[in-house]
Amino acid sequence: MWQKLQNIDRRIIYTLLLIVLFVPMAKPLGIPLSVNETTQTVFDTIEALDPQSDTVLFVLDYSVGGQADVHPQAVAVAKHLGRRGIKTVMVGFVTDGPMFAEQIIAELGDRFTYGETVINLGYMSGGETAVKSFVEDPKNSFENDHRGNRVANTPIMSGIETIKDFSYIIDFQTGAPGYQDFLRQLPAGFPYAAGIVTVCVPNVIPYYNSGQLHGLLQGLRGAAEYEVVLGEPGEGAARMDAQSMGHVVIIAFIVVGNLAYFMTKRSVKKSA
Amino acid sequence: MNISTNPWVWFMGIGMLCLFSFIYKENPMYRLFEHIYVGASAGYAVVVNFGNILDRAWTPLTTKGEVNLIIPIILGLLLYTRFFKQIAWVSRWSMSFLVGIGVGISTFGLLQSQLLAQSRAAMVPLIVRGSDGSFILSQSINNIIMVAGVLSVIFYFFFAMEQKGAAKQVSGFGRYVMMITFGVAFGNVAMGRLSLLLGAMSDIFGKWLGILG
Repeated sequence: MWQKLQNIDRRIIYTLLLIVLFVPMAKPLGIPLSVNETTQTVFDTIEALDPQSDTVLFVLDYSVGGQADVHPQAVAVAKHLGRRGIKTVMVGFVTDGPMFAEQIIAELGDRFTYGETVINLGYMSGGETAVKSFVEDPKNSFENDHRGNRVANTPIMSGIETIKDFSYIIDFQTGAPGYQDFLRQLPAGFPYAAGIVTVCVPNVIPYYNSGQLHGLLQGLRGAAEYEVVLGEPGEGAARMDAQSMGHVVIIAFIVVGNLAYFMTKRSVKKSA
Repeated sequence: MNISTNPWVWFMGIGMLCLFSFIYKENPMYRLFEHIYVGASAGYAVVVNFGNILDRAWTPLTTKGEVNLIIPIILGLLLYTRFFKQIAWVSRWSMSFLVGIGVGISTFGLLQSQLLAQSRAAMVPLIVRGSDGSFILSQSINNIIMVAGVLSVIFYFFFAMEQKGAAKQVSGFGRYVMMITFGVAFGNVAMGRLSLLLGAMSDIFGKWLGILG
């Protein structure tokens, strides 16, 4: 029996995992969710901004492959910015960025006025070179926005001359360019936060602990936490029960696999 | 149940099912949608980047007379000489330029943000006291573990002397610290992959089939 448990067919594992994930998605269990300090910092910073004078640079550097992890974060933070009426300048340094920006603006259209409280500048190619170029001269980096409007004619960009005219930068990312490129190119100590995929969390945490990141949203959990703090449960929160149950299944299989390994070893020793 | 009537949502749902069919075994439908995905992504990237070249190079050059843009345009075009065997070496000029620029713009920031700032962050007091002078046990333990971890892991990669005796103990502790880190990384990978799966399930059961509330 122990031998068999070491070689469970992967299709059985996948099927079990799908069932366990589906049930809480269809009928949420309401497992309580604590909020990390990294998420709370982002919320508190945005909460402290002044809608009259502050502008946030909202960077969409995630691709379709990682959107399930990062897009709910971007939506949650955009909801907060829209609710507070904070001017939000969206830009992308990966090709998919402007597409997600348009999705968010379409979804939250009632919270923003295009050109006045939100703008989608579009995509700038060049990776870190583009980041540097934008940081040095945000005003002249884009002549037209993603929709073809002249950027200089939009009220939201009228107060932007240098990067320091942004009160906060939040960068949603799945890879490069990402937090490392921004930290290398931004003036030291600039208020910069990141929304990252879960896989990257162990690599990025040291930058939060060192004070270089002013807030960090950690994968889908980060999105769920933000929705909870915001008081507007959305996609992230809806999936957290399923995520927790999925972890239970994975832990159970790891325990069973290890137990089977040691028991098999023991029985081989005994028979020898 | 509220099944979507949007044909694109149907296309997405069928595409996802075909891609997930790989879990059972490799099949032509999986291959078909894999190629569609790769092709669509590449096509989108080409269109967006071509638009960027038009907006940032061609239009300013032809309408505003910004002749200095000829230099990056020529360097960009030279990259394509690699497709012609006899003049392929010319593409190295552009490549060298790209590498030089990349290294140049990142080096200073890298020293500041990744070496100095991170080193500074590792220099923390081992006995932490609050503003009223009281001893903070939890923070002190955190700092001791962090400093011991950093030093022992660095020591693990110190090959200038034979690691035996006390040195072996220190590097052994470093190895355990790294193993714990790898465990944390694995946990996050599992969590991240589950998030992606949940995103796909949300699209299939929610947006497409309308089963989820």
